[in-house]
Amino acid sequence: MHKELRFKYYAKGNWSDWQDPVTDIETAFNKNRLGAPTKLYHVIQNGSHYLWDDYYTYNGDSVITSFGYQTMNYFIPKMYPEIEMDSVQLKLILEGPVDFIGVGEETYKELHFPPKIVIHE
Amino acid sequence: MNSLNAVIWHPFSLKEGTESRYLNILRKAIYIFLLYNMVVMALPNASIYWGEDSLMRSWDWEGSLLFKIQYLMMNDWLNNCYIFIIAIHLGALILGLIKGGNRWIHLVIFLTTLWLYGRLYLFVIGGNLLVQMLLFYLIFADESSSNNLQSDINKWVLFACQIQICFVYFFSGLYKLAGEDWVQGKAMYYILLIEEYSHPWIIDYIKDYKWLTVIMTYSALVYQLSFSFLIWIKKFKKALLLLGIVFHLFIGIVMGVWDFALVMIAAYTAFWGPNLKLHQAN
Repeated sequence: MHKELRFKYYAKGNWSDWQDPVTDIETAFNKNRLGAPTKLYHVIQNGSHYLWDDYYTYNGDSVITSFGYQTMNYFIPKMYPEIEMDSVQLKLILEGPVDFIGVGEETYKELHFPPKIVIHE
Repeated sequence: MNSLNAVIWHPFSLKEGTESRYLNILRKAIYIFLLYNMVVMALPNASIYWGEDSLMRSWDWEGSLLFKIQYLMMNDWLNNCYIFIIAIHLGALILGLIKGGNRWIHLVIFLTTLWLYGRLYLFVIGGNLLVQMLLFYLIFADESSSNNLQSDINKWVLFACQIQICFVYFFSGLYKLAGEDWVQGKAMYYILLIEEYSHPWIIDYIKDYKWLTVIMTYSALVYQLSFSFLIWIKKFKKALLLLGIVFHLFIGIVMGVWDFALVMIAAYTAFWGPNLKLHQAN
């Protein structure tokens, strides 16, 4: 199951479009696997995994207090310090490939998480 | 016993003092890996891994005293000195590589590794945890001593490192047996379809060559489950280690998890010995 994180932020009275945090990092990852972007790419992916894991561990309840949710909502504003975000909202795109036998189709599902207010430290 | 020693290899069969040579190789391999991991993988983004702009927030984790020592850099006052701790870590590694170091240097490397990576819960992988355990065992080794007691201790340290690596493979293989995709031969197919752990040219390729992924899945499973037993048999050792290096290079090149690939290849040096013909047999 492939997990992709998307986020949108509330700033200056408006919600942004859904953003992909790894676009530039993914390009660097495919150019040079031995460098630092590889690790950053996997760090973000690990965060997404924790978010997914928490969603199913907590059955979608109490997700606001779960580890993965706290981590990612803290994480995203730190990646974009130039944007003063008031709130962050996350979603996980879950893509399942065609079954190994070739029966069935690719699956697609989105998990939405409630917005979280960003605390400016 | 002589006929058993002709078939089986273990560090207690080494002549006094020769175990130091192999411990030294293992230690240097791990230190080189740690240098690469810090300088290449972590340092370019140090401010977003540690410090005030860290992507990984500090956490109030409750636990025993040992737990709190391991996660010392969860305390912001210490985490904010990360540059200082990284400098000590790198300095100790360089000293350990060039001069061999002493028990204090080895202890500093162990502690700084524990603290720096203990903070990075999204960064560390199983290989980092293995390195921490090997570093702990290596504190008790002293390759420069010619003392008989130290030589015995060195052999036990080498044996402990080897057993630890065997545990990693065996339990990893056992855990995989609980996974339906591994048992049915489908695991590598699904893994290689994940962009973060694959390569663009491979993703299209494997859809047409699924049989290759089945072979890879079962090969990985058989390798991991048999490693702990076959590695002690002299005639299998070289082939197992070479196969393992190929396996881990695949993980690095194709899957992009270079830190794990390199740490496991470094750990393999724990199994080098006279029957690999690296040195004249003593």
